[in-house]
Amino acid sequence: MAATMEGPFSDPTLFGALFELQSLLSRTEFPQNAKDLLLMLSTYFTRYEREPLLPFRDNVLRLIDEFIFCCVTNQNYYRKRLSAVQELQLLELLCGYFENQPNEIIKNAVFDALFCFSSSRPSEDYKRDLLYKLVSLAVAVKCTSVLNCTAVWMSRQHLSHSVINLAAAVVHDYCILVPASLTAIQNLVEISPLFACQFLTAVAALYKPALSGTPGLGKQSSLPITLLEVITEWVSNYPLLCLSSLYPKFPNIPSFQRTQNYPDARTPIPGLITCCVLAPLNMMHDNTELTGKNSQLYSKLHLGVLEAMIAYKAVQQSPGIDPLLIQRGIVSLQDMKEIADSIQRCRSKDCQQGQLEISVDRMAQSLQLALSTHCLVCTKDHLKDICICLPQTRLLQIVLSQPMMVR
Amino acid sequence: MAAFGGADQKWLVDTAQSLLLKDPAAAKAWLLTARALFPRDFGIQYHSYCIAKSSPNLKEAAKLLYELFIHFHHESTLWQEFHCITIAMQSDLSDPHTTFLSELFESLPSQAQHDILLQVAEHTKDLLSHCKLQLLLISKFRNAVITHGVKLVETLLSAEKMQAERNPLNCFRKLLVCDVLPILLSIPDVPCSNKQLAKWLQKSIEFYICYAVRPRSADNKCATPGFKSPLKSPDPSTSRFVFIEGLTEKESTIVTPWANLHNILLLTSSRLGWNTDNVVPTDRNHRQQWLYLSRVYKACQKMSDENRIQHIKPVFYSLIVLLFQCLHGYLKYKDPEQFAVNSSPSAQHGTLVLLHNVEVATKKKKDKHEHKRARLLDKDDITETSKEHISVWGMNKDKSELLESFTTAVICWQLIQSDEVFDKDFKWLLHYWKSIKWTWLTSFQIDMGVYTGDTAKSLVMLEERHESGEIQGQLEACLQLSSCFLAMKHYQKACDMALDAVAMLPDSDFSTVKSLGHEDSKSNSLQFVCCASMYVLQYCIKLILMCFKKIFNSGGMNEIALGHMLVMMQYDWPKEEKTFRQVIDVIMQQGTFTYTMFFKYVINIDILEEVSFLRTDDGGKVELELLVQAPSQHRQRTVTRGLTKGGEEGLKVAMEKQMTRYDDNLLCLIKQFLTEERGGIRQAMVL
Repeated sequence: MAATMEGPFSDPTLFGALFELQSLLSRTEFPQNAKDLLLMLSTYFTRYEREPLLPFRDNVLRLIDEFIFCCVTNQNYYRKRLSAVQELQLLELLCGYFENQPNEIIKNAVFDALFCFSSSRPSEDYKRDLLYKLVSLAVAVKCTSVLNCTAVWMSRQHLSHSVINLAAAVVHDYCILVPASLTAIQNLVEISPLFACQFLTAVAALYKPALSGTPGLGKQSSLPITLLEVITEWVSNYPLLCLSSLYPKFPNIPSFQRTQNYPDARTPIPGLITCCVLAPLNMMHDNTELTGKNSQLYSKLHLGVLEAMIAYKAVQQSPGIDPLLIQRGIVSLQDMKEIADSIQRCRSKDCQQGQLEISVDRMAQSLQLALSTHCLVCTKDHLKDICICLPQTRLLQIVLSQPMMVR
Repeated sequence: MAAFGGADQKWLVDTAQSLLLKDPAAAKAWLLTARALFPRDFGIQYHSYCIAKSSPNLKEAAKLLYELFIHFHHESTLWQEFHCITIAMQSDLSDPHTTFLSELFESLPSQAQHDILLQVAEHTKDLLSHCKLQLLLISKFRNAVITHGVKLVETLLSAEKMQAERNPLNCFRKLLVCDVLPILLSIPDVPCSNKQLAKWLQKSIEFYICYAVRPRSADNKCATPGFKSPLKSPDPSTSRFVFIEGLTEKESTIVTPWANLHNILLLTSSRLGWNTDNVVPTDRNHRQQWLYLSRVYKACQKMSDENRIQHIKPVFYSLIVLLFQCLHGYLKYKDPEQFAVNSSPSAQHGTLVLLHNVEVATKKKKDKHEHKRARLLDKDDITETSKEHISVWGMNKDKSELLESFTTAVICWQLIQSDEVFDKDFKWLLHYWKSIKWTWLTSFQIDMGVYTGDTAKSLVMLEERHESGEIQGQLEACLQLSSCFLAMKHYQKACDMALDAVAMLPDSDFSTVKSLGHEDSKSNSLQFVCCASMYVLQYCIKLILMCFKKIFNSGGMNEIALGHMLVMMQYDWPKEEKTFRQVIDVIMQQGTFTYTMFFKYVINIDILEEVSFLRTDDGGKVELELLVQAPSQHRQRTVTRGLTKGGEEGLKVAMEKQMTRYDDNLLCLIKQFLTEERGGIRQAMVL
């Protein structure tokens, strides 16, 4: 559609002439000019898809700010000009655009251009806000295109604050603000498994127990039980869900971002292991009532994570997975060390022996499964180093004493 | 239970087990860890499977069982489990556990199913279980039929030979005929010779014959103690289960034996390259099947020798199947207590026996038979006329099925006998099947002789049977002997046998006397008579009277015999009035009549009056000696002068007294006569 567009906006080189284009777009009102600019972006990326460096970067970003997000940008401030109704119009316009754009590369490139936060522009906070609103809306209206684009965008953001805050916004809207709308979240796993996988990773980071070395960015104490239920169901019923991120989507999307522009193959598994292993300690630490239901949910989630690791063992040979990644493993020694340190810190405080044992046994189980499925690639000595400070349960001793399986 | 490789392994499983109720997910996580730690430990794997099984988690259990099969196929515990699963698969039960195990097996990959069944079968020492497993294998896997089918058949055949009692109704034969052969024969690639195929067909026919006509009394003997014995239910309407030792009630019940046999015949015929069009279609009644076969047979006669065999063989076997199917139909009516499957008590009747009709002149009957026999073989289109001359007495049911079954069986037999090759093969088969033990077949042959007029042959068989002293059927044998002797004009022997038959009847009051006279009895030369006392007695009375009449007509007859005739003529009075007149005439001519049993057995008013009349002047002043000579000689001597007068007075009083007995039970009286005066009656015949 974009490639064959006729008229004044069909020439992508126009981005070179900023003032000309500004005056051209100014002839119409929002949202028509926003629509025109989106179509122009389509032709632009079609034209320059294979260029190593995208031309007219600043002009494009400036025009996006001005005519799509309607921010008058100066060096130090931005002024929001859209009313609440217009904002909604814009979100609908974007949803429509992404739904109707047939080319996945163009679609993702435009999404990336719209939400390019690497340039420390003053409009970024507002745009971030709008992104969260867009994703929230996409969850509600089951807009797979937007969710898939978001997933790709998230994987390229490498678990940045923006990503974690995005997850926090979704959780806030659907689990805390209107808990009755939880089914919309439940359905995500079917509407966009890609997004669900990224969301899991982000949520695990968001609720990283406070007692760990690096407290959760969202400063959230513990997973809301409703959300815990949802992700437990996901992980238990879809063992391959956690592995979606292993298959990188569209690695060569043209992008204005200047750093970390490759997709991250990070899976939710390390984060989920952390959640499950530390849950018994965390619940106690937070003085949260350790309800039977909560504890059973964590047991189930833990089991789901173990099964996801077993599933990983089965897919290792499948095409599309980076062999380097297979060599490195999907759980790092550092991940495990952080968990061990957290347990260690907790151990010095007053904590119930029983809870501590459950935590250590889960740690040992995770380690064993991670080792035998090659999610974790390391030597026995590495492992002993990590676990030396932990309370020695019988299971942990068995795990440490068993010879390593050769791949 | 499965052993562990070490204490750690056991501890891991125990820990998981302890968590199972409280936190099943945690228990599972422990088991996953245990398996990851000790992937080659059978104990862990097996217990994981047991836990999944008891959860119950079908998918998980199937996955673990498959892994066990792949990695631990040398473990005996595993094979015990497989053994349990195969037992469950063959079970009739539908409890959750059994169902679960069956579904579990079905969830395994098909190659694993195949290998497991094969190996479990090979590990099973018990022959029957082994064969059942092999059957399960070939019923599930077509390829297995080709590789294991024939071997299984041979195993079954040799297994049956090892049984102490050579009974075709054994569990191995049942499996072979009902379960294995239908599968085996339906697959053309199975390697087997024509000789084998023919043998299997003969074994099948034998089995189904024995199954269908198996007498009910034999069931009780064979019913294993665990099963509900039919003996316990006095209701004869309960369906007749043939328990085959080693099989369950369900397994040994065959709903449509003849249809199954027909199917085997069709399959075998097509495997042998026979013309399957010459296998009689079963979608028609017996009579039509016969017509079809006789037409096909005629067509075969015209064929050249080289390809005749393909066409004639199916006719031969179809004839045999039809013959025995008709025989079974006939036996169901002839002896419902022994052979009928589902007869309601109301429809029950006694055994039927084929007898000559004593109300039709024997000479005339014989002619009719000669004519009939000639006609049977010549014409194809024998229709209703062929059975017209048989009536049925004492059965409330529609007789047409009985007669159709019987007559069709007879013509099948006759066709087989008329063909030299058929006759030879059939005789060989009967010998091969040891049909000498089939007493019902002899019964049929006797009836067939009676029917076709070959009374002499029937007599030989009857006498053999009578002399062998078989308790069962003695009454029938006596009746039939008697009837045959009558037909052969051996009146004394006929009478003798009839008296024997009456002597066997129990003492009952015969209160519900049904008249013999039913509409078609006179026109028919033969009748199936129900062996209930009431009918037997009436038949015998008629038969004995008939014998007396024969002798009477031939001239020589003494006074006692005349008296006996008077007694018997009371039955069905005044039917025999004509003969009565002749007897009275003879007495008048003699002028004297001495019969001291007169007042004991004669109560018919007409006869009493007629005899009284004989004393009068008009009656010819016959001197009657009817009173029993008083035991006191003294009285006789002292009143010498008044003897005649006094005697006459006594006679008059006795006559008057006898009048009051008119409503005595006549049949009881005649039975008493035939029983108590048996010797006298026989003597009277001889003279």
